[in-house]
This record gives sequence, structure tokens and C-alpha cells, in this order.
Amino acid sequence: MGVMVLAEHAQGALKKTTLELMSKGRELADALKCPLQVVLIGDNCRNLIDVLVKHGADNIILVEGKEFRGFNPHLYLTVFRKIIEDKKQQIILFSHQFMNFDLAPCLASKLNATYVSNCRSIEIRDGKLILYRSMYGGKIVAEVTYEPSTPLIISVKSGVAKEREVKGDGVVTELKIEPFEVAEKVIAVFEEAVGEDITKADIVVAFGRGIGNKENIELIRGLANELGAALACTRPIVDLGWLDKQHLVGISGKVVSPKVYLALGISGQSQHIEGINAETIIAVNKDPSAPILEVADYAIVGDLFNFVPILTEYVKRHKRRL
Amino acid sequence: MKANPRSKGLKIIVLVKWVPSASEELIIDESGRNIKRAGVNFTLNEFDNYALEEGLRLKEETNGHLTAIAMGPLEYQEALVVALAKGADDAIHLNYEGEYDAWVASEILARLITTLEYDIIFTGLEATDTNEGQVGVLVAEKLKIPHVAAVTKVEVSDGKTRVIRELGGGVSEELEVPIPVLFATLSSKNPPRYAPLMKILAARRRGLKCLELKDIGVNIDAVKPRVRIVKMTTPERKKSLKIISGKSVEEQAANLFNVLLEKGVV
Repeated sequence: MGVMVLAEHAQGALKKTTLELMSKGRELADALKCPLQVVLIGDNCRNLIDVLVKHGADNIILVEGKEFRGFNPHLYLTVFRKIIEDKKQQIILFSHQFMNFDLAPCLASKLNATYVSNCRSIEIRDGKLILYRSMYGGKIVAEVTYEPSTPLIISVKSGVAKEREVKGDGVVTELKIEPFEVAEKVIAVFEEAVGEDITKADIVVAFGRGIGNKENIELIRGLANELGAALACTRPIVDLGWLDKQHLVGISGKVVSPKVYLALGISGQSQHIEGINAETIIAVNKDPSAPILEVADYAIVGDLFNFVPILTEYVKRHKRRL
Repeated sequence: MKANPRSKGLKIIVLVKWVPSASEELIIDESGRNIKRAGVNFTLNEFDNYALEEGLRLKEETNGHLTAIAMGPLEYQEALVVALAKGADDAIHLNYEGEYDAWVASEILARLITTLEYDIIFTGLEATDTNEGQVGVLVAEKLKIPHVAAVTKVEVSDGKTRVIRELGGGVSEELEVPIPVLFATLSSKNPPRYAPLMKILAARRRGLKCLELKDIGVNIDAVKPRVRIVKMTTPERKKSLKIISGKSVEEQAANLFNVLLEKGVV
């Protein structure tokens, strides 16, 4: 019995979502009086063991091999199935990130297990897990019941718990896996070309689909220029070809840490919000139920097209006075 | 530039869903377990739009055939009308009003797909209403075919596919996968095409194939949801959220400008 977490890492470092997941996993393991197990798969990744133990790992199952250099969920799947044959898992936690969109449902299917995805919080009531899913892009939270299963597979949105240091037992078990083949073969791993670096700016002016059409970007660009701000956007804007990917904030793009993040016409899908690590978030949105208001510090409920030209004018005037 | 010659006549299936537009304000109904659908604008699920675009491009490049499928209540047929207007050859609506989760949906859809011929199945990475992100991969598992999720580009040659999958944080990966295969699509090589009103009207006149669960031999009592909604709520806002108000837009802008001054960024 135990709570199991997959350690996700890239470029030799654990992902923030994994540390959050371990914090939640540790809490669940303590409440259910069972160990927290962490699966660590990769090529030359044992240097991460110390960090895992510091964040509460009781057991670490280490699988190393050159074949795990890229990320191939189909290879991970086989490893997971081997591990689960050995140990009856109570709960397996994944982060709800792109890399697990193959692995988690696939594992659930192979094990005939219940999989509850995109949970924003997990509570324990009378020894039972109460799960809250995020729906409608974060506009709705749904408490759900689920068919009990062993294991129970859960994927969790980022921000489910704060990362914390708590020492685990740190017993390492190395698992040797015989080479095997899968249909889905990784040929290459690559990083998108980088251009203007938006991650260093003190102020970021970001917009989303609320902009309506491509021509209106100039309005936003005008404000950004006056403020000396970096211009950023959400995923649909990049997919439409309206701005280059270097301006993208979110899971698919950059994480920005400015003093002020001005979100104009951004509804606040979690895929975008995960890229905002700002001291202050200011949102302008017509929709008073937009999820961006959940994370914003200041908000104007109104039309950005009325508002942006006036604000731009104020900034101009202020600069003239200086 | 014209693409290289590739496999001919690909048979493509695209699964689509009709969902509330992202900017809609949603209200929870009396049951507390669903949203009110009346008065809400619906649209083709964003990720399905990319899936459809990628499917249509491959269909056109290989002189193939594309079937769009939607499961759900009658109004979901609108998603198929859009698909037909954009160039789908066929559309199948599986009429189902009942409660379902990703497990049930994938069971039913896989059952329907086994009656069809296909090389590539496209789904969106997730539906923006339920945000489960499971149906595509579960369908592939049930059909026992390979799958790749978070796909942004697909090329086909010699009966094999080359795809780009996004791993997040600006990192992507290229894979080679044999056909038949399912792709849960995050984005497409080209921006989704626009369906003009004339084509929408023509597609509506064309009609589509409507099936009931019994037509494909599904006994819904035997397929139970594994995850059920007990109670919906709207999330709490940040405790410290300050709404910047004002008698006029000018006053609001001035108040916001003061916040920027306070934070030392102007």
C-alpha cells in the first residue's frame, strides 16, 4: 500500500509541479499511514534522489537507461506496469501536464483502474479521498464521486499544494528493465527557437482571444510600448499565427515573473495561468466569471477597447511630465 | 510549396464536441450537478477545431476521406455541421442525452469506430467543458492502436506518421508512429480554416447520419461512469482581489494607473 508520485524532470532538475505533487502526496500518505513512493525514470538521474528525499520520499524506485533520455510515455507505461505488479498501490498521482496525457489514461485502461483527471484539490474525510475537479476552463469546480479501484489514478492541476521540505525515509530500490520496443518511437527532442525574452521584464502586458481580431493587437502593443512592457499572449493567439511563440505565456511557453502582469481580455485557462508568477496580477475582462479573477489582485470588469486607449494616454502624459 | 507525395487516400476520422464558448458566463442549474445550457453560446471545441484542420489537410493532400463524429445531445449536431462546412465528407451523430464520463464516452465511441474503416483518428487534446483529457487515448486503448497526445503537427509517408508532440515549457519531441494511429491534438500546422455562412447553410441542408446507442449494440446499463459529479460550485476568488471601480472609464483608468505607480513600474 502506498501513495505513488511520478518524478518529472527536465534538464537535470525536478519540475515545480512534481515538488507540489510530493507535498500533497506526503500529506495523503501521512493521513492514510502509508509510505510515499516516488518513481524516478531517466538517463543518469540519480542525482535527483537527494531532492526527492528532502521533499518527503520514503521509497524511491529508480529506473535508469539510455532509452529514457527523451520522454516517451509509452516506455514509462511499461515501467509503471512492472512496478505495480510488485506493489499494490493505493493512489498514483500525476501532474495534469501534457506529458501525462498519454501515460495516465493509458495506465488506467491497462489496469482497468479509475482515473480522475484535472483535480484542483484533494481532501480526506473519514479516511476517504474527496476529489474536486476543475471544469469549463476553471469556471466550475465539481466535487466528484468515483468507482473505487486499486490503484486509484489521479491527475492534479499545478498549485494543488505548496512545495515544502519534509524528510522522507529515502530507501532507494533500483529496478532493471530489459530492453523492449514500443510502436511510438521518439526520434528527436528539441527546444523551440527563442527570440525576445519576455521572462525578464518588470511589467508584462498580455492579451488573449478577447482581442477579437489581429488588427487590434496594435492597440495593445501601443500600451506595452508606452509602459516599456514585454508583450505576451495566450495559446490561441500563437496558434492563429498572430504572434510568435516567444510571446507565449503558459504551459506551452514561458513562465514570467514580473512585478505587474496586466491581463487584457484573458479568460484565464489554467494552461495560461501556470505561466504567470507575478507579484501583482491586474485583469481587465468583460466576463465577471472569468477564471483570471480567481488569481488576480486587481480587476476591472469592463471592455478593454474602451479602457486601453485611455490608459495609454495617461501613461503618455505621465511620461511627458517626468 | 507543394508537399511531397505521400500515402494515398487516407481514411480519417475526427471526433468533435460542441461546448460553451470560452467567454460565456456559466450558471449552475437547480440540480447543482450541471450548468444551464439555455441561453449559452456554444462552439466547436477549440482543440477539435485543430484536430479537424489537421485531418482536413491530410485528407486533401492524400485525396482521402474524412468522417466527423459527435456524441451527445441533439444540439451537438452543430459541431458536425461546422465540420461538413469545412470539408468533412461524412458526419455521424450518436444521439445520447444521458450522463457520461470519459470512460463511457470512449467505450461508446470505440464501439462505433470498430464499424468504420480508418487510418488516422484525430481528437482534441481535451474538451474545454469537462477538461478531462482522456477520451482520445482511451478510444485508442480500446481499439488497441498506438496514440500520441499533445500533437501539434502530423506528416504521413509510406504508411507511417511523423508527428510533433509538445512536452511543455517550449520543448517538443518528434515521433514516428505506424498507421493506424490516434492523435489527441493540441494544435495544427495551419490555423483552423473559417467556415463561411453559405457553406454552413449548405452543410445543414445536406444532413447527417444519426445513430442511437442500440444501433451500434451498446447496452448503456452495462457501461457505468466511473466518475460522477456530485456538486458544482464556482471557485472562490482570491481573498485580496480589489475591483477597480469608478464613475467612468476615465476614472477606472486613472485608478489603475495609480496602482501601476504604486508598484513602481511607471
